[in-house]
Amino acid sequence: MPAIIEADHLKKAYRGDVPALAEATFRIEKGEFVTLIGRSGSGKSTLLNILGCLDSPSSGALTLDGEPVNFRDPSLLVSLRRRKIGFVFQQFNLLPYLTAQENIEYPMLFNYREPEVRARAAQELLTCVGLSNRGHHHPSELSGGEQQRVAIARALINNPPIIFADEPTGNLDQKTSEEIFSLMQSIAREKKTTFFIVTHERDFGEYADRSFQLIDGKVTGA
Amino acid sequence: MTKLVDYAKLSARQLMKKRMRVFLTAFGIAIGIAAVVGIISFGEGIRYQAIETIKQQSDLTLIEVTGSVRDGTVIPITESKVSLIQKIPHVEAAGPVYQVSFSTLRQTYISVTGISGEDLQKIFKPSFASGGMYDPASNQVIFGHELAEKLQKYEGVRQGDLFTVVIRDYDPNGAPSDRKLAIQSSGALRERGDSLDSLLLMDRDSVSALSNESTPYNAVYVRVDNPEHVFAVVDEIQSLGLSANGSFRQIESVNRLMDLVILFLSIFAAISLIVGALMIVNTMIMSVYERTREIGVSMALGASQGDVVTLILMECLYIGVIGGLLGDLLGIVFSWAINSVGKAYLITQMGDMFSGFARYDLTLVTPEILVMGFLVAVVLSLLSGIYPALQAARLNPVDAIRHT
Ligand SMILES: Nc1ncnc2c1ncn2[C@@H]1O[C@H](COP(=O)(O)OP(=O)(O)OP(=O)(O)O)[C@@H](O)[C@H]1O
Ligand SMILES: [Mg+2]
Repeated sequence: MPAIIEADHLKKAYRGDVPALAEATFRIEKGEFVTLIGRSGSGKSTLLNILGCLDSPSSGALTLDGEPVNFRDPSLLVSLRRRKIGFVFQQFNLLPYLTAQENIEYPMLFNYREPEVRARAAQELLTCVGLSNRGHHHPSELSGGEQQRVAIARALINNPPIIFADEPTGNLDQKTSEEIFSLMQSIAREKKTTFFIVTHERDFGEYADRSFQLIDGKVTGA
Repeated sequence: MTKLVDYAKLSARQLMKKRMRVFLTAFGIAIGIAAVVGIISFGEGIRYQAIETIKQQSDLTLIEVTGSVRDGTVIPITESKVSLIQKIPHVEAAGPVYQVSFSTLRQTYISVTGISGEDLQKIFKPSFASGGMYDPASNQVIFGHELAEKLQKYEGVRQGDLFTVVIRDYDPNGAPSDRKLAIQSSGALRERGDSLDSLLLMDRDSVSALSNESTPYNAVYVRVDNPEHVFAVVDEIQSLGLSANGSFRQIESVNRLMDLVILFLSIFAAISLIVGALMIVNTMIMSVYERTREIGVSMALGASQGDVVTLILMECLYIGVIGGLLGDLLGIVFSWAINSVGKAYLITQMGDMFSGFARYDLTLVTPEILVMGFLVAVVLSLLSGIYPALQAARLNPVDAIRHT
């Protein structure tokens, strides 16, 4: 079975200093639920941004769902983000002037689908994250946990095989965090979606199929 | 395309969140547009009045066609050119003429135009103060009003008198030789206020008989059916290689002058447009800055640089459309104010002198001016958005998402 993510000696250095990311080589299979744990400043976000085609490595190679990533081809990066990748952020980052349902539909504006298709997909996902009756609410009317559920639904709208989440529970309390993790886990099981989740709380390791560690810029535990 | 509709809806949502800012920015551009619309409508109003006055005071449908010199060769008025002119649409009559000169025995100079009686009737519709038309191929002549007065005053020549004029010819060596000719007036014209007043008119064949060899015509008088068709006829005549003159030239010079005046005034009005455009640039730069994180998130969610540029320009398009409509509206109000206040002022200042003008509006708002004002607003807004849009598209998504 081909790997969904294949990182080969990825490295990232800013201005010739000590590299933010020194060495990342691993394979992740389709549908795996992976967490990445490390101290603050250990390079977790740096690695996640490279895997998510938002940032480019100083050296090394990346393959996503069988497609080699050419970091010098901006239109390929856009296309990969549209087809292969969903993002969940620590700050939720919903657009305040859109309703929950419109926020979920938002990525489909770029990866164009007709309004009816968008609405149907968004409503399905609202149900899936347990917010079927909150679609017309604006983010300011939702709790942090609810906002993050909306953000997870938004990440799933284009049916990407991979979801990257950078400390998705960093702004949530323990109980809500656990709910979010079990939601993501059930989605991973149900939809065969690969999750790659950065967290610095070791406790959530129990949800993971595999747990990587970043120590001094090096990925271990792979 | 459908994608653009969705972007338009999205941008509208954005703008609704900051209605006041959008309105003020659009208002800035609207003031510039209003100034331009007001000034141009004022200029057009004055142009319209001046042209109407010329139309009333002069014989606009009369064109005098003469031969011309092109690239060093003379283009003469031949019989075939005359018949081509007669075939031009909207030409009622075209009468070829000979132009010569006589002098009296006391050296009074007289300009003579030889024109057939029929052409004279059709083109000039002469009305006589005394007497009537000359007989064809006779030595009879008609005096223009001024000429009749002059001859009577200085030469004692009266209607019906036979009198002698001198025709000066030049031999091949350039030496002058004079001939004498007895002529008789068959009538004198009423005052017309045009060039006929100072002319002596004679039958064309009689003038042609004065010279031994046949010469091309000196001019063709053309009567056009309607003032509106004059410029089209002039174009046709000029395309035959001939020159055309007449009162329409006054309209041309009024147009040239007004173009210049309007352009000059518009430059001042354009300054307020520049200020308006800078306001848009400023608003959009702020808007991009405030939305740095949103733009980064959009990029992470699949927006391309082109999508970002389109979204920003879409907002500018809205500002331009609002500004253009508002500007046209203000421009109409502005022009109406010039009209009502300005006209009242002019009437009190100029009294009766102004009465001729009072019939017309001082300003003239045409659909073209409004469309132009609207388009200027839209184009200017889009241009103002280019820099902020490119700035937004060049954002690094990682940094943008981290932006607070
Ligand atoms: N744009 C940048 N320019 C220079 N250095 C950077 C830049 N971005 C990150 N770094 C450095 O790279 C290192 C790794 O940063 P990164 O954000 O990946 O850490 P992290 O593991 O995500 O930390 P945290 O848990 O606090 O989010 C840090 O030392 C950071 O200072
Ligand atoms: Mg981080």
